[in-house]
Amino acid sequence: MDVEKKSQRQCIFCHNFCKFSCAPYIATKNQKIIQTQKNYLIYMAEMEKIKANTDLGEAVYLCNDCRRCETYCVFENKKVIGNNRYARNLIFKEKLASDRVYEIYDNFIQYGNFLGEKKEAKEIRNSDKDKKYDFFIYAGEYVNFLAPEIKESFIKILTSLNKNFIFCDDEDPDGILALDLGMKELAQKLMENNFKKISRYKFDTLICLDPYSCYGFKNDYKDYGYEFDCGIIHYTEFLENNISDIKINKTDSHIKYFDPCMLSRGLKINDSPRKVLSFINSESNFDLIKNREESECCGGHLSLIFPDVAEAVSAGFLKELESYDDKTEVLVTACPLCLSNLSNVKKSGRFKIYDLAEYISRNID
Amino acid sequence: MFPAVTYQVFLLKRFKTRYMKLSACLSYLYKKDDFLEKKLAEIIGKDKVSTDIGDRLCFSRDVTPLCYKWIDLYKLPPYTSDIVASPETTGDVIKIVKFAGENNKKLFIYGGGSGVVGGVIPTERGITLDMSRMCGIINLDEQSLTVEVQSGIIGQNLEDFLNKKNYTLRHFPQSIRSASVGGLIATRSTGQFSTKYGGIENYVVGLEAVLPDGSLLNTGDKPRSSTGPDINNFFIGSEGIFGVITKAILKIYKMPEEVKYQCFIYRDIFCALDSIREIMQSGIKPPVIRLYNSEESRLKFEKLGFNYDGCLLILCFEGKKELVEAEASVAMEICSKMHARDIGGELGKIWFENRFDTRHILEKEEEPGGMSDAIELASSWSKIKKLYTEVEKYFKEKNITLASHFSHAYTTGISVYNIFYLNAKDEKEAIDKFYEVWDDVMGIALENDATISHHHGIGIIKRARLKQELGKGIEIIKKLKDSLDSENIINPGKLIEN
Repeated sequence: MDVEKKSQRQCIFCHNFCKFSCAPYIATKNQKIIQTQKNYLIYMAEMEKIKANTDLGEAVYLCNDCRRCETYCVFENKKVIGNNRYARNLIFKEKLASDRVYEIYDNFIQYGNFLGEKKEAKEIRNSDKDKKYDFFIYAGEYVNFLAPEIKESFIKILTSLNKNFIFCDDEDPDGILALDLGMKELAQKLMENNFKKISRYKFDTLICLDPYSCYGFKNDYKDYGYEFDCGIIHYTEFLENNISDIKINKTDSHIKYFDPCMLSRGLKINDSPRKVLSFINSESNFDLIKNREESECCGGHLSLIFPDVAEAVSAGFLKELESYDDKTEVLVTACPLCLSNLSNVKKSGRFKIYDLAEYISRNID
Repeated sequence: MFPAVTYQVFLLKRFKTRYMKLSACLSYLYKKDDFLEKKLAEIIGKDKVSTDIGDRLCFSRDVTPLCYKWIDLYKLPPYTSDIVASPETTGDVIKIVKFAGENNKKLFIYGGGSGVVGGVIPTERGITLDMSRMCGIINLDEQSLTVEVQSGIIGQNLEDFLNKKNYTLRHFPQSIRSASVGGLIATRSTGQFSTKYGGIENYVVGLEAVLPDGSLLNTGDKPRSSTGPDINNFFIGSEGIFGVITKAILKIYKMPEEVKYQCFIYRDIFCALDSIREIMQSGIKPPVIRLYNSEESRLKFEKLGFNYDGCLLILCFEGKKELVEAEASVAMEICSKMHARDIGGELGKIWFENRFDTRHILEKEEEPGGMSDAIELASSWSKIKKLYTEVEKYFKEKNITLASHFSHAYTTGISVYNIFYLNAKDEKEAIDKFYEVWDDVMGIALENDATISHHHGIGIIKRARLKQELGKGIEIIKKLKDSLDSENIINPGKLIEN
C-alpha cells in the first residue's frame, strides 16, 4: 500500500481525537474538514459510492495544512500534508475546487506567482553568477508578496554583520504552494525551474526566510529529485548563531512567541527563536500556553483562498489570548503567513505583532 | 452459552437487507427532500441547513466498530439522514423540534460523534440535528466554581479554555478530544479521574433542554434541592430520547497544587483488587485507579518500556500537597500489606501522556476480518471476581484475545473494561461474531448482577438486553418517553427499542 493510501486509511479508521485541535473546523463547524470525515468521503468517491462535489472540494481546501492534528494522532501519522495533497489533486483535476484555486493556478501560469503580479524577468549579472557567497537568501513567495518587511529586515541584519550574501531579485516560486494546493504537475515544473535558477549561484548555505520553503527544499524537493548541494537553514537558526555579534538595544516589553506551524511541527525548530529572543529581552518565558508541537493556528494559506475563515481563525486566537493574558504586549513570530494573518485581523487588540527578523532589526543599535 | 436474543433483528434483518439493495440506497441518497430543505431553511436560515451528501454521510456515522466494518463491507451507513440542521441558538433548536413534531419527521441528535454504541447513527430517515455550532461558553462563575456552556462544545476545547484561567473540569473521558458536553451528559459518561471527581452526573449542576413538544426546561444552578426527583437526572444518560440538551452548568475545579503517581506490580489480580477495595473503603480518594491484567499490561505498556511480569496498578493522587502525601502514604501501606511491588510513579506519568492511545483497537478494526471493542461492565465488590473469572473464561473458550483493566472504583464496587480482539474469515463473519460476543458477555454480566454498561451507554448495540437489566425500570423509561414524545420524534430507536 502506498504512503498516501495507508495514511488515508489511518485517518478513516480513527477515533477522531484530533477534532478539537482543528482551527478551521472550530471556525466553520464544517464536519467534512476533519481528517477522518474528509478522507472517508474521498475514499467513498474513489470507490464510486458517492460523487465528489464542490462541497467536498471546498472542505478539502479548507484545511490549512497546519498539522496540529498530527500532534494528537493516535497513529502518529505524520503524512497529513501528503493526504491533503493527494485529495486536492483529485479535486483539482475534477474541477471541483473553488474558483480562487483555479485563479491561483492561472496566476502561476500567466504571471509566475500566486498573486498575479506582473514582474519583469531579470538576467543574473555575471558577477553574481561567478562570485562565491557564504549565504544565498531565498525569501519565498509569502515573504515577497505578503510580508516583504521580513526580507528588508533580514538584509539589514546581514549587512550589519558584514556577511557575504546574495539574494535573487527575480526569485521564482518554490512550487510548494502549488504542491499544497494539489497542482502536482505545475508544482513539479516550478520546483525544477527554481532549483535550476538557485543552482546557478555559488554559495555555502541556503537561508530560507519562509519555513514553508525551508521544509520544501529539505523534503519535497528531495522527493522530486532536486537535492541542493549545500546547507539549508531557516533564518532563525542563522540568527541563533549570530545574535551575539549584533549590536542590539535590549527591550523590556512583555513578549510571547507564536510558534509557526511549519517551523515547530514541520521543521522542529523551536529553541532557536526563543534563544534569539532571550538575547534581546529579559522575559524568562516566551511560551504561549499552547506552544511548540501544540501551537495554535494563524489560518495559514487559507488566507489566499478563504480569507474570511483565515481571519476568523486568527481573530479567534487573538481574542482568546486577550481574554486570559493581560500582560503580553508584543507577539513575535517567524513566518510570513503568521505575520500577515495575525496582523490582518481588523481588531488585533492591544498586541503589536512582529516577525522575529523585523523585531531584531528594529532594535539594532 | 447464552442464546442470541431479538436485538439481532437490528442488524440481521433490517440493516442487512438495506445493504443488499445498495443501488436503491444510492439513489435514495441522491434524492433530495425539497420540502424539508425549503421549510427548514425558512425557519432557521439557509446557511444552517445542508442536504449535501457528504454532510449527510458524515453525520450518519460515529466510532462504533460497526461503522468501520461498513466501510469495507457495504460501503454506506444503513440509514442516512435526509438533511442536516445546524442550530446556533436554543431558539433554533426549539424551531427545529417543533417543525419535526408538526411534520412527523424523526430527529437524530449529533453531538461530537465520538460514541461507540451507535448513539448518533440514524435508525430511520429524518433530520440530523448537528449541535456543533452551539459551542459557546456562556458564563464562568469563579465564585461558585461553575461554567455554563452550550452543549455542542467539545470537552477538550472547554478544558483548554478553563486551563488558560487556571481551572479544570477534571472530567477526562478518553473521547474528550472529540465528544461534546451534551453527548457526555446524554451518555452518562465518566472520566479517567472519576474515582475522586465522579462521573458526569457529579458535574451537572443544571441544564437547559428543549423537550419534544418544543417547550424549554431550565433547571438552574442550585447546589442541591429536595423538591422531588432530580430533573437533571432524567436527562443524564437519556441518550437524547427525552429532549435536546442545549446548555449545561458544570462544576469546575482549581488546578491541583500537586499531582503524584504511584505504581505497583501484583502477581495476582485478585490481591490487587482487594487492595483497591481497601483503598476506597479507607476514606481516601485517588482520582485515578487503574489495574491492568497481565495481558493488557503487556499489550499497552511493553512498547512504552514496561517490562514487568504481572498486573500493573496505577494510582494517582492530587490536590493540596499535604493531602496528597497523606493519601499516598495510606495507599502505600495498603498495597505493601498485599505484597505489591512498588515501582515508583514514572509509569503513571507515561500512562497519563499516552492515555488517548487507542491504536491497538483501531488497527484491529482496520484489519480484514478483524474487529475489536471494549465491553465496560461494573459490579459490586462481592461479585466482581466471579464476573471477571467468567468473562475471562468465556474469551478463552472462544479463543478470542482479551485484555482487561479495572478502573472507576467506588466504595461499593468497580468497573471492568474488557477489550476483545477477534478474527474472522471476512467482514461479514466478523460482524456476526461481534454481535455474538456482545450478547454472550452481556448475558454473563446479567447473570452476575453486573451492569451491561458502565459508561459507554446503550445506543443501538446493547438495547435488547436493557430490559433484562432494568426490569420494571424500562417501563418507567418507556412511559416517560411516551408522555414526553408520544410520536417518538426524537432519537427513535435509541436506548429503548421502538
